[in-house]
Amino acid sequence: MKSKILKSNQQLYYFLLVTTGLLFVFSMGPGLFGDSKTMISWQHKIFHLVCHQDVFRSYSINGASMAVCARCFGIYSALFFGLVFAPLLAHIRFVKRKRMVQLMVATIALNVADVIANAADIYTNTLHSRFILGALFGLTIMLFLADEFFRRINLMEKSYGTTNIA
Amino acid sequence: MEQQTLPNYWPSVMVGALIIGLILSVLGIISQYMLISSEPVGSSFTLPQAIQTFSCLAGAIGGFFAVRHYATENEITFPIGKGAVIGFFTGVVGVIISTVISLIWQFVIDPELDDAVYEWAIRNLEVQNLPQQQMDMAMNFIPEPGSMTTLLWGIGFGIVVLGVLNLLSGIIGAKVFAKEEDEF
Repeated sequence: MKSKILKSNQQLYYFLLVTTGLLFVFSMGPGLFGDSKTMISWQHKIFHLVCHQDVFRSYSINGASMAVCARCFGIYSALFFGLVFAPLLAHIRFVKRKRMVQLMVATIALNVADVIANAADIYTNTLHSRFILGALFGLTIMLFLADEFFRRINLMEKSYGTTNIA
Repeated sequence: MEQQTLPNYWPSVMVGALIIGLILSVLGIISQYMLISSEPVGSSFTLPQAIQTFSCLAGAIGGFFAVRHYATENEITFPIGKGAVIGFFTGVVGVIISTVISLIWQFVIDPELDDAVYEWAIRNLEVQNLPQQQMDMAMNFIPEPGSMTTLLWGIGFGIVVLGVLNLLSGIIGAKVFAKEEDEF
């Protein structure tokens, strides 16, 4: 038996690598491009739908607030760097798939609890704590998906080179 | 050899798209009414805005539900690439459905709403007592009511961002519900 990496999954990997890379760069806002206008950039408009973009809850670069809040920046960073290191992550199988799903749900719950606890004045979260919690969520997604992009399927040896795997 | 046709995934895309289209538009409209009924205090982040952001994030799970529907209705397994395609189309159609509902609301049911939101946003800026230059810059960020450019940019950015987020949730859905081998 021979095995081959599923080609369509690898194409999807490269597509996601470029897409999340662009989201990561754009999420850093206008400051990355030397523009100090805080709230009127096209980067802010891109993420306007999915992030509150509160300047007090966002990192800034060159004096300009990022286009997303610290938590969202953590998610986009982890998605992008998770994909960059996906060839390595694919070999890390320290938990089963079912546990990975539970871990993903747990990180969502952790983020929701953090928002509620902060809103209820139980404690005050910081830019860094929000970034780390967001990044944890993004990382669990990538840990869950990484092996899919480099998944090998078994072929009969006699059919090697004749089977078209898309 | 008899070729078996794969089940059509568009009904599942429509189910997922309807879910996110309704979430986006209904919560969006509710948050706009909450906004105009509140007093502007100069804050850049308000509860209605938080609801609107939450509704948009909730809109990212459409791909997950569409893939679940496709896998369970047809009792099939498929590669994650198919989940990505279903998720992306769900995001795109969801944004279109949400835009249509919002336009119907804006032009037929309550034509005053958009103007009221615009006026509220300007009053909220005035309360902040910003220097004129910053005020002008901030004003550019507030979408003008009924502007076609704003509408088209909104649809474009919505399709790109929610398309990608639903694509990701579609991949996750495919791995959870449509995986070939059982590793559990």
